Amino acid sequence: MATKKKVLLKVIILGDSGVGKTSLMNQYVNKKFSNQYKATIGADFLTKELMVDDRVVTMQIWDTAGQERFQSLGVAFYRGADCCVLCYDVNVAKTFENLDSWRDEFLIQAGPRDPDNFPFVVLGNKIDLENQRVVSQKRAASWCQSKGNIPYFETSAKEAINVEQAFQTIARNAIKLEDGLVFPIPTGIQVQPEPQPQQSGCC
Amino acid sequence: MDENNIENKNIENKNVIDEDNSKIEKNNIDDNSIESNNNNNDSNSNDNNEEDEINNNIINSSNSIEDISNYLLKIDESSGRPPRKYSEQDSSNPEWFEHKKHFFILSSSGKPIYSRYGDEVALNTFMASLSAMSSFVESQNDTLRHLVAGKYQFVFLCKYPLNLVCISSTGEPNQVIRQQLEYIHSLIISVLTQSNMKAVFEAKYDLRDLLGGTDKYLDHLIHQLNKDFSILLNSIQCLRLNNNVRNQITNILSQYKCDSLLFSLLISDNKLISQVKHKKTTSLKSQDIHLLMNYVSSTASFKESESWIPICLPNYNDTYFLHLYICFLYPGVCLLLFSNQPESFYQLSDCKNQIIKGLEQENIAEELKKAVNNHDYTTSITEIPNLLHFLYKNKTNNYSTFPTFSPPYSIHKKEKKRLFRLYQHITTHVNSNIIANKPHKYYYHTSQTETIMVATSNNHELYATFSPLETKKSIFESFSNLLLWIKNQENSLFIQ
Repeated sequence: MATKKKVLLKVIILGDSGVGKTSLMNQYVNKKFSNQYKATIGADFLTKELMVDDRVVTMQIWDTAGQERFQSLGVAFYRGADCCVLCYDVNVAKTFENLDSWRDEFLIQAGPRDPDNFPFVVLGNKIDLENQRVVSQKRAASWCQSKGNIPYFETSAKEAINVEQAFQTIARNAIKLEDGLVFPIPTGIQVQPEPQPQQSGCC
Repeated sequence: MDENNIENKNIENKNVIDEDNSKIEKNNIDDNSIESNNNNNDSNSNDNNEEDEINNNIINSSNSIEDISNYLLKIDESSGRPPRKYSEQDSSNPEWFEHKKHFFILSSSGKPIYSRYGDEVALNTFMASLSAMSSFVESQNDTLRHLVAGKYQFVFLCKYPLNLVCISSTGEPNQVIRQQLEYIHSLIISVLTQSNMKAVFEAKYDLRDLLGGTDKYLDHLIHQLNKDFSILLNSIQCLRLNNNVRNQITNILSQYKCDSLLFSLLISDNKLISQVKHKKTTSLKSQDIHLLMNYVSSTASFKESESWIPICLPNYNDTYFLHLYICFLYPGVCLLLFSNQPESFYQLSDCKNQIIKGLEQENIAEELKKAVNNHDYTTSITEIPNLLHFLYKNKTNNYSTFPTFSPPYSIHKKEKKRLFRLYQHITTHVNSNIIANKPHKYYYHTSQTETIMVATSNNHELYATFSPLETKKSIFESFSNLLLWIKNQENSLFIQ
């Protein structure tokens, strides 16, 4: 615990099974992509240090399992998240339609203080498969706008398109929230022991 | 003593492994050398002094200029402190996994706060995994207490908004590790108070920001938890002192007070000399006193000047801070005065001067200094043959006494640790008689290396260690004699 702290952000990635959450994270953190699909069991964690303006930021990325049978991670899992990344596959309509329920699920479970201004970021992934695309950029962008101007990125984990930029925005928005915090203790020390139960006399 | 009542149980010989104490002790030595050369009483210049001393230390310990510059590069620029031991390790190093006993503190959201070994930020994904484990169980409306993975045991203590986890391969009982985690939790409360901690966490503020510099106290506390018999017995050790001298000291402490003064304590290292409660209020609990002793012994600058710090005593009131005046009266003798007023420093400083004056009269100070040097005793003082070691706890006032190690235990650090671990198991067994819901009355453990006999009553617990070759008959006899010896010495062993 050094006295001068780096900012640490908890970032949660949500979205349907197979949209590429783990691939996006791997591309961002490890600069690697694999075509093989391996379902995430429960959750996976990666970390990345980055610079936002002149601040060092450490991201603690919680990659969740999209499959329904793993979706019992509970309140504690979402607790204290600084940013939530919603992912869908631009080639599968259902994954886009489910964004609403992912967002609702997060807001219910995490219960952020100011749900309207909680930093979300939406990623439309797999744009490298352009000829199969079913969700238009316009449709996605207008959904994001209707939810309070959520930043929207079209990404390809495979081709590393927009991945770096997306995570940079994620960090920047999460920090903004942190900067807006007012420290809850008005004065440093409040002293006055409550009247204690009188158990014994003076010694 | 009825032989039928004696339980003959063998304690599993789990891996009792020596920890890296030597390294921690070395840290302490470095700390001491810092303070001995620090002649400046101005607390503001402590940082500079420390840095100078660190440089001196380096020059003493190494002749190579390259080494020095490498060392200086490692000094944390922001704090001016030398790097923590093992701070460069994380879960990507095989060496990190070699440590026998890890402690982690994380927030309920899985953000890292402290790791005994390694940099907590570098370990953030590891801590997130720990958090996922407990949150998974929590989502099923249950609480994760411990789990076993191969040779490692994981013990979890989840107290919102903190999760504390110990991962160890030392084979200690879960209950003992849980107690250690409770102590660590209390230390955090003592820095922040429970209500502040909740407010800060719920405002999404990073708890690490408010706990800067606490790692030093945590490291020291963990070190102490792994070797302190009085903590193991949930008790306080008193300085061995002539009863009349102690009474005089207590009188002096009660006499010199001011309106805001709640408690006066006089301690020597981790031993209590005297304590006085000035107001009608709850008494201090042993856990809080151990936390105080930990603060005093892990802060070199307290020895140099009068100090004034806010502190929360979790077992007294975990919502508010008290103000604590700390001053060393003589080497090894530290005065602690608790006030509920933030402005009473000068009044308490006056109290201290009067207390010193009082102690100087009638030679009490001299007697006290002598007692500090003569506290330690070995089993030979009891004149009981073949007694190797013992632990005694007076349950009416929670005071305990025990000799320092003598042969065969004093020869190897490993042996000391082994006996400590054995006592950990035995105290746990003795106090976990689930059927009767009270401690076992008698307990008899024998192995190749020693025989330990235990007797408990409403008033005391006595654990006595003998050579394994002793007959039961002679052990019973010695045991009774030892009880008698303690009874006779009670006046000087414990605060009456």
